[in-house]
Amino acid sequence: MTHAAAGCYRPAVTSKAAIVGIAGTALTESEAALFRAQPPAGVILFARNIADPDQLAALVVALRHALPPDAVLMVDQEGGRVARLRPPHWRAHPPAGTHGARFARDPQTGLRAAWLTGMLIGLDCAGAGFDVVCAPVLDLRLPGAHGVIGDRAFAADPLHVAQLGRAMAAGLLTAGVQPVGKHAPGHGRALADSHLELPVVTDTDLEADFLPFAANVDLPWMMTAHVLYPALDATAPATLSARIIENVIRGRIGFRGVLVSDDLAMQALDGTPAERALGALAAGCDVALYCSGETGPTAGVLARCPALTGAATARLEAARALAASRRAALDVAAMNGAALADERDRLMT
Amino acid sequence: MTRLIFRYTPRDTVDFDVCSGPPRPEPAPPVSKPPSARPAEAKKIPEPAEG
Repeated sequence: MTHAAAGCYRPAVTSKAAIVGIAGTALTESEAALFRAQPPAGVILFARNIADPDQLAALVVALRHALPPDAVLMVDQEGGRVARLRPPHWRAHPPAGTHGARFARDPQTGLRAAWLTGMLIGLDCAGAGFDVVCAPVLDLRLPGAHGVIGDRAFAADPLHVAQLGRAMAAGLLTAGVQPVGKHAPGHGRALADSHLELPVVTDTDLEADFLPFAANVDLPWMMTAHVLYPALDATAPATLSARIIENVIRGRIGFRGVLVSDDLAMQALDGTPAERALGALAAGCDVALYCSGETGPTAGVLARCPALTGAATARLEAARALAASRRAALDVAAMNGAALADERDRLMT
Repeated sequence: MTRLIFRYTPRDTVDFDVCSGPPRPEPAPPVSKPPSARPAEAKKIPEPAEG
């Protein structure tokens, strides 16, 4: 039976190269109309959009109805303080830093715990209808850096971060969701919060920061940092820097997957939201991320954003296919979430 | 620009057999052996008298 015969025919659409937020716990008529007129490549949800499982399920249905079939639903669910799905409705997960401490005492136990956390987050998010999870954090946890990263990062040692990030990403993929390594090429040295201002990293030797990203270069997604690295490009932060994206993220690190900007509503960047989005895409991001959920600026971003490029579409499809193959291979019966959570909690004590 | 050559690439070396797979049961506590017969107390040898 064709889609048309099933009553769900939609003309082929080319999505805009943007993932956007929405305002509340239900999709408004104006948001639905906007998404039909200017279809985004996906929607990201935050705590403001999530009340409980029933509400979220209804919202996901409404979004799927309004969005193109291949649009992604994205969520920040790292564990620790960055969690949009929270108790009492969903599991709490320890932060990356706790896994790093466990790894330092016993690497095999730390890796298993990181994999379990990735798997559990993936099961929670896939069960709620999400495709893409913005984790793991591959930044270094460096003393003296701003706390915006802090225990969101696994460790100071790039080899520990590389391995733990990989284990967590593998767990997420096993659950059938697409992980996003962040914030390339490394946010760990930032002394300021890019939500509020533009951090400037004056260090010239950033090899250690690159290593966890290079070691995870085959992740399906990575997210850029709103950080200025004068040693790499004195004029533009990574998100807006063609030089950093081309030479470092795509070049030296060698990333070939979907590159999404960090949230372009953050105060680190100048210009209007649409100008920021166009700048990120011009620099080489595949997708611009705009999370404010304010309908007016979101409409402005979508109106001015170009369609996904052919290369971006191919990368998105590869990411989707990778997660789908893992999901198809998932033995749900064997992956008892409660037993996995018990084991993870036991390992973390 | 030259590509980095990393001395160590975890994507090649992380052993996912170590960290992946279904739930693993809590290891059973070590079985304590039944108390074996106490060795006979060594006979106290009287210390030689000094002097």
